[in-house]
Amino acid sequence: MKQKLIFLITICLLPLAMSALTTKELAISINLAGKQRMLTQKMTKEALLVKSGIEKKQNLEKLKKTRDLFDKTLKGLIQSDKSLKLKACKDEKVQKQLQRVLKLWKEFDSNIQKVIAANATDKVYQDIEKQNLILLKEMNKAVRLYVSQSKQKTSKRAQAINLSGKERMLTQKMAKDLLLISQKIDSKKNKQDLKKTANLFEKILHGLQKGDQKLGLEGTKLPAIQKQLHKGEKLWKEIHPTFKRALKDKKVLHQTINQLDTLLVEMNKAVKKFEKSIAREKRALQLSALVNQFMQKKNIENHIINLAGKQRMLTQKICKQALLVSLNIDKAENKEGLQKSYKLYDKTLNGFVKGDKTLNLPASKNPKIISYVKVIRKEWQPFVKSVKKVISSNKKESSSLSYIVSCNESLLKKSNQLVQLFKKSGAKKSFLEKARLNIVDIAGRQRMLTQKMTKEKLLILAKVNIKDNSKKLHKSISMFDNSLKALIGGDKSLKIPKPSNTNIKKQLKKVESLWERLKPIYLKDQINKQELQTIVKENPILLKEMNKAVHLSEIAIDY
Amino acid sequence: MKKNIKMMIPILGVLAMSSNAMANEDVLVKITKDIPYLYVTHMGQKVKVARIQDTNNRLTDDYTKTSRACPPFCIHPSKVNKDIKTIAEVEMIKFMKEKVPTGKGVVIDARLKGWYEVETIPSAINIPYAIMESGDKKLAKKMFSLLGMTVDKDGTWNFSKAKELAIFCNGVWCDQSHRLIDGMLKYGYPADKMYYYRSGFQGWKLLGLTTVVKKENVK
Repeated sequence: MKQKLIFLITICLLPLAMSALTTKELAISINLAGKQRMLTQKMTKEALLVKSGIEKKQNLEKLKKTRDLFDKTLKGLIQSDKSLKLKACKDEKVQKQLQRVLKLWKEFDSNIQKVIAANATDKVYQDIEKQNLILLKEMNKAVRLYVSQSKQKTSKRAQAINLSGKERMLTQKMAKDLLLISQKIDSKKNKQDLKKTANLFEKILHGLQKGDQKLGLEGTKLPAIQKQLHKGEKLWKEIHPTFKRALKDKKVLHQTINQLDTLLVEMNKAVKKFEKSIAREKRALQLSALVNQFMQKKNIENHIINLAGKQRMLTQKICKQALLVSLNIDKAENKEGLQKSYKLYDKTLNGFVKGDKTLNLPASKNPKIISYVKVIRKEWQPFVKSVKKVISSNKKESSSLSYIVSCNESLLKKSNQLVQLFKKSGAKKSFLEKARLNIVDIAGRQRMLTQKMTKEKLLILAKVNIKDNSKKLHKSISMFDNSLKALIGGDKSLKIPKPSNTNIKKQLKKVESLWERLKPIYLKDQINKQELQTIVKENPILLKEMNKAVHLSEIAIDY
Repeated sequence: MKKNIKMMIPILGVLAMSSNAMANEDVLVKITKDIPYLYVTHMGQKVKVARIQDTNNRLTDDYTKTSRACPPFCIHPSKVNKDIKTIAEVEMIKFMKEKVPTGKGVVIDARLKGWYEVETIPSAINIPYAIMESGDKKLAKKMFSLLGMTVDKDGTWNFSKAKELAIFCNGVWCDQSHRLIDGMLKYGYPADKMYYYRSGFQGWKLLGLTTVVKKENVK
């Protein structure tokens, strides 16, 4: 699951495709495309101000600037523009919509040019009045398409940029509506429009602050944005009540329009703050993804040591299971177990070189490890042949069993050598990191010893090299005993710190109590049938519990 | 998976935020004479940073532990490096108040991710020391870029816009900040852009300052 999460985060941070915009680029595009909506209204308002003779010269200058900015931004959205930090969005739908806007813009622009050139007739103004809303509508569609490009994680923030950007447009639309009404152009319709626009402005402003499900807004808890929106709200509360008077008094109208421009500036600041917050969120996510990737890599090292250590146990388990089969003890069950064990050994050995997703093993790039796996494989191939013979034959496979018994320790030795090579490989390790690897190795070795002890006990019972195997058994018992004590209480010479993690401590205690029951039986020279059964039954439990302890050591945050 | 999506909640902040109207003079245990509390943003959430108001409160968790084996948990000198300024709580608060909201500074928790996820200082982001210690130049470049470093046309790493970092770990006996700082310096992060909060998380908790913890860990 953890891996899945890391994968998801990584995916979230990567651009959707080579052509897709990054989160930052998208935030800029949403802002500027959104600003275009406002510019359609601003141009219309300025053209109307020119027509009504209010600050004609200044408004002509403003109109020219607004027109140029709209033109430049639209081209930038289509083809990219470095000075505007705009990168063209290659999405087909977005490009198609922008072409539609461009077509409308050309018609609208020809009328605006006439106003700038002082050539505008009443028909020109009428066309501007009609065309601006169509242009606004189509530009709005383009903005929505940009918002839909944003990934789930940031889509709400993208919507906030969109709607706070829309507020800028609404300020200009309200100014335009006020002018149209004051000039008695479609008064009834424009009064309704003005009311609608004012309500929408208020609704969005509230949604940006407190959230609005219908608008897809989550509200902001970021102090800087809250402060800015509060400023906008305060200003709005001052402007809104002046609308009625503005329609009757030209001076008030002039003041209201100027105040709406101030509101535009304040809302623009809010948009910028939303845009910045998206960039910050992205940076934090990227940092978190980097950390996750790195930590995962670190945990993989412990995991590899665990699996390499498990191979040692499997050599002993295979031998033990082959002996149980030949001794006719739970024959069918042990044949099945034997098959599982050799297949797992084989799979893991291949996984070390080629990687194995099901084992969560990356392919090794270390030439020393790759060449040593080849050495092991050379020994493993005849060994596994004998194992297969024991499984397939219904009779006692003496020669195969003898091969397994004589070669298992050499295979164990080599498997252990591979563990040491893995421990030495990788980046330079700190005191605690080295200790962790050591713990996984030693706790992992305990699993092997559980199997080795049983194997040796079985060999003694089968009267195979009794003296030699008895000596080996005592050595294994003492090694298991000492290592368990070291794992529980810590051991400086073995570089094992005492565990502080409650789960690890609990698990080791569980192993200890199991071991206390089994140890006297292993130590007995002669055991009865019942005791043999206890060993056969409880040995896998001891292995299982030891395995749990290894796993906990592998994944625990602190030791 | 479940653990990763749990919400972070402020231990003290939740209580403190319900009494928003509390005036400066109503705060019995202020941070300083002039600062009763402050607000920061942690993972997109507003968090009120204040001190525990219960004057009978005592710490009972792991941070009351006096002794850990040294090495590795040895007491560190006041200076981590001659060019790096060591700071205490008041400077840390000032940093959180002035540098973090303006995007000029970042509070860095240098501990391993597990520690950070369990409990941390509000507004802190996690850069575990091991990243800089065993990472390579490529990783350092990525990390530094996210901290504001730019790369000039000639390939030089430009730290003029790099953020100031206030780095902490578990406390005076913890070497994770040292190791992160050493790693940062190794790859060229400017010493004058780093601050070492020596008392670390233990010092922070000892003063009853707000921490953020994962919901599942709140008892």
